[in-house]
Amino acid sequence: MIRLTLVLAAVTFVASMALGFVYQSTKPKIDLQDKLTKERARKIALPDAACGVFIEQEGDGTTYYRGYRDPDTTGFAGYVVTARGKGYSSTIETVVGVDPYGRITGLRITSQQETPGLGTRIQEVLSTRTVADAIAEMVGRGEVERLCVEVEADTTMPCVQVSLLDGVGCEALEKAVAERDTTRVIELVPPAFGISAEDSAVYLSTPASTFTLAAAVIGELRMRNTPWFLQQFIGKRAGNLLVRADESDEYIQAITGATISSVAVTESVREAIQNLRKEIGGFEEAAD
Amino acid sequence: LSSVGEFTKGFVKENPVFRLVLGLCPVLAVTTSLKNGVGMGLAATFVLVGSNVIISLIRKAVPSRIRIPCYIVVIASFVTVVDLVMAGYTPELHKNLGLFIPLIVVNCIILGRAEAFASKNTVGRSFVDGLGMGLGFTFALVITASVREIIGTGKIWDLVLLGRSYNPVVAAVLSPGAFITLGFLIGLFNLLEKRKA
Repeated sequence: MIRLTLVLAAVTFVASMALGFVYQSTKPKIDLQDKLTKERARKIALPDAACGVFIEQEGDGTTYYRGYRDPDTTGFAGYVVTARGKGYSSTIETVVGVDPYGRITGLRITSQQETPGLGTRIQEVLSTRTVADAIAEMVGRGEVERLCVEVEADTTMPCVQVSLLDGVGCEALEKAVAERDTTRVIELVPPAFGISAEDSAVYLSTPASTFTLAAAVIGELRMRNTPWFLQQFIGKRAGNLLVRADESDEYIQAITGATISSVAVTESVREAIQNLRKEIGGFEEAAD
Repeated sequence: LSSVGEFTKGFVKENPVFRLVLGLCPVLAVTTSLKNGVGMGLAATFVLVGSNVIISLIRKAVPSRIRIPCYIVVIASFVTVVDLVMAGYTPELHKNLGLFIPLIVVNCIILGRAEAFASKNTVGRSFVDGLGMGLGFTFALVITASVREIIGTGKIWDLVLLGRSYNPVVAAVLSPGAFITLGFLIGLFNLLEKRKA
């Protein structure tokens, strides 16, 4: 019996030492990925904020982020707060952006381990990588989004329908953007985005307007890439969030991973916003 | 079997998925895209090779009565290594595979090879067996994922294959599509084996 114990102890000891080494080696990289995920989530949750500060609270207080439109911390854009709720098989962590009036500006789930195929579909996206994504990657999404913010202020250009290119066209456009070949980009963009020649004459008359178009597409993509489940939150106040629209004997709502996950997100977002309201002493009154 | 025979048996003759019908949970769940299939296959191959080698090394020192807990500790350690490395270096793939990475611990191919082969053979032969079986498993995942992704999205590895006019059969990337595709592929492998005989 002693031999059995010693052998098992030796195996587990060696395994734990090896795992300790791997953990220490990968920890900086995992922490960095975690930080990047949270930064990306914050940008999606509060897209108007160019910078901000974390307001740390001691004890049970709610830590939140105050976002500003301008780098000199002027032009208050809103708050970002993290919500945590118990889902079907994990704690779901959601980053929520709220404007100064308490309306949700966006949100992103940053961590969950729900049932694959059910609960994980709370993060489902409608579209996959498109040519507009490729443009954003080439010229830098930040630059395109900055352009988007700038041009949206003084243009009424409608968002165009994003359509997928075939492989050949996509590669050609990626190449043209990488080489900064504006003439070629202008040649390729109209068919890529499915707009007519007349429209393209208006939209693509200058290199700047080419990127304007790309910026508009990115704006639409941002919405299209928002998971369907999360769309319901946009523009709502905490008090408007619904756990369940109605109850009916005819339409029995099954208890599934998806239902439990969705309710967990809804409840946790509501609670996080209520806690934020207490922390800041209430939201501003909207004119409407 | 020769070393070449040990290596190649996992691809067709003793393919863990199509012939032995083992490890079906990740096959059904993660083969919605080729990227996921390759990622899961390589992760399982690493665990198979590593655990086979270590189990073969310690096989004479481990008493029979505690061999299964020892094997599980070894397998779980390799799975944890894969999990940590993927989380740090391939976060997107790690997110896509999700729960199925830790679940490699209970993949019956891994424990099956440890018990049936590595615990009775030399380190070299166990290495070749693990590599062959792992790549055979990857091969099965790649075929299943390719069929499902092409039919279900018209694309493969982000490359548009069937053109914009193709109307994807979304069911292929949902659960029923996984069962149907796997059923057809197992049938195909059985047919090939019958013809060979």
